Amino acid sequence: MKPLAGNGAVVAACVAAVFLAAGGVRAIMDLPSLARQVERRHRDWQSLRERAARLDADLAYLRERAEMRGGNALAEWFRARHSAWAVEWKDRGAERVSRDWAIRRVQAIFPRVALAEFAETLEAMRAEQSPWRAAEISIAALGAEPGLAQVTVEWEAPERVPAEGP
Amino acid sequence: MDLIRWRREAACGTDLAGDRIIAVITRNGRRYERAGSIPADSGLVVSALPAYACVVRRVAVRMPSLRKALAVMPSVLDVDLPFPIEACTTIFLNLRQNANGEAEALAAVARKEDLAKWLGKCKVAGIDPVIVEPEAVGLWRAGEKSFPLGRGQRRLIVYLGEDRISLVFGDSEGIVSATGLRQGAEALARSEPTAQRLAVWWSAVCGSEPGHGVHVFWCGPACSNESARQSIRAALFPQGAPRELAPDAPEAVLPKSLAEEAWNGRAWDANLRTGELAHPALNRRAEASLRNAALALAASALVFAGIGYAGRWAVARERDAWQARLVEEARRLAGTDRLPRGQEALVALRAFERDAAGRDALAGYREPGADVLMFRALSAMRALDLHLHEITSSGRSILVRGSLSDWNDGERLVLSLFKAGIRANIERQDAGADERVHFTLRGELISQS
Repeated sequence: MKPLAGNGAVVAACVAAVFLAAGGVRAIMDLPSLARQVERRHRDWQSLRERAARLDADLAYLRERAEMRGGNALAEWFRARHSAWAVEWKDRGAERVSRDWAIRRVQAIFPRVALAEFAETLEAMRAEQSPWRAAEISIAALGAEPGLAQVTVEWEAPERVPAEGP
Repeated sequence: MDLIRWRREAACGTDLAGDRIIAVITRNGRRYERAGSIPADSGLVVSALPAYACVVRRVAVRMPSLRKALAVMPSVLDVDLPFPIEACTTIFLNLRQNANGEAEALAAVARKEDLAKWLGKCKVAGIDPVIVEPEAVGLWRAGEKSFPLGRGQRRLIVYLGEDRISLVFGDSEGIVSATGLRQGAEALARSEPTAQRLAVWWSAVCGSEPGHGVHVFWCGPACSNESARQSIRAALFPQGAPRELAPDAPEAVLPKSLAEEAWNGRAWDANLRTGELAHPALNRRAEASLRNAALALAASALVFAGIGYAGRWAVARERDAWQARLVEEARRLAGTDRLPRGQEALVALRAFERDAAGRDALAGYREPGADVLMFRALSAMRALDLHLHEITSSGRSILVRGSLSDWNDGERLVLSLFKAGIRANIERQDAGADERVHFTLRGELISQS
């Protein structure tokens, strides 16, 4: 029989087989690492997706509230309804909640207001689906005048702001 | 050429009677045709190396392992041979454990020089055998097939040729010994010393009772030479001839046996033509087998590598798809495209955490307004005789300061608020100058969940 070295096709096939098998083994050995990468990316994506979904829902709510009837001009709204009411307005600033949205806060002090009438006013605001939400209400009785009180309300409403950079 | 094709298409057993060829060909393993030459479609051609050129004997080794015994048998045989075993081609047949617990085999040894000479003779005659079987083996198998041996029976096969004589002796366990002469039946009939040489061998292998339980199986192209037969009877069985068996067509017994063995594949076990003297077709076949095995190996490796690479490609593709989704989500959450590769999630999460305060405010904005809690509390308190001094509602909590007309109105107040969905704690002070019970109440909206 001829020596193996003399049989070029056999040697070539064996060499090719060795390289191919080595390549195949290496490719298969890469699989667990690749699978871990897939798993990690999926986990990261899921984590980001959950947060993004929460944020999206919150922002959608902001947009929805911002588009509600009643407008944002709270002081004007009160003036139009209760021109006789003395109101002291204080702007408490805006807190950015996303890249292009903020929550604007306004404090209104009603030094002397009939509670029943004030309750109806708040009811009306809700009925009109005003974007303004009463974050805090404080009512202090006015001595011997039943039904009258000093009311302090902190309102908040969404406000679109210029987008900030990352 | 392919061995499988040889076996399936045809097998040809050959013998030389002087320069004359006696061939038996089979193409289906059932019908055997005689021929005076080797036809082109003879398939696998087998020849028998004459007994005079081949030592055939039993070898026994006291070893429990047949595999190990087979490994030492050549050395055991070497001691008995008049020539070095390295110069020979050797085969071991019928390896088994004998009654004494020894590993036993039938050894057939031929000098390569003698085998080459025989092949040369065959070539001159126009025979190119792929397999060269020991003649003793071919004859013995022919005898077994024609007249199977019973337990305790012994057989002497006498092949009478025109230029050689071969004798094979065996029992129900197989061949015991074989011998041969380079003289034909005619010479034997004329020469008494020739017959005496056979008698010496016979007495050595047969022991003290040469005729006991023995029958003689006559065959060969010169089988009809009665003078030669008589010479052998006289030399080997002086007390009287034993039973004799006469097959049909005795001249074709050997080639037919060889053809049968070739057809059923058993001839390969007894092939002396191996190594450097192997038939070139066998070398080609071995090379082709090697080449095919290498190609099959390469093809398997290719398939294996293909599966490996395909698997890796598929998983890598899946990874890239998830990477793209991750980057897209991270960009959206971080609000930027400038994300370092591999840190997309980290950067996005950092950006998300940076806005945590804003998101808390946003979550607070989605809560029911303070007015809801405030008016719910006021409604609950309306039926009671209360003086409210101060009431503050923020988010889910409420603080109420006021006075009660009766100490026990405190419990009624708490119960009333509880019914309205507000869990409250009340702190009361003893009645003062106004004879009212002053209180501070802290309440919390009961979660709906």
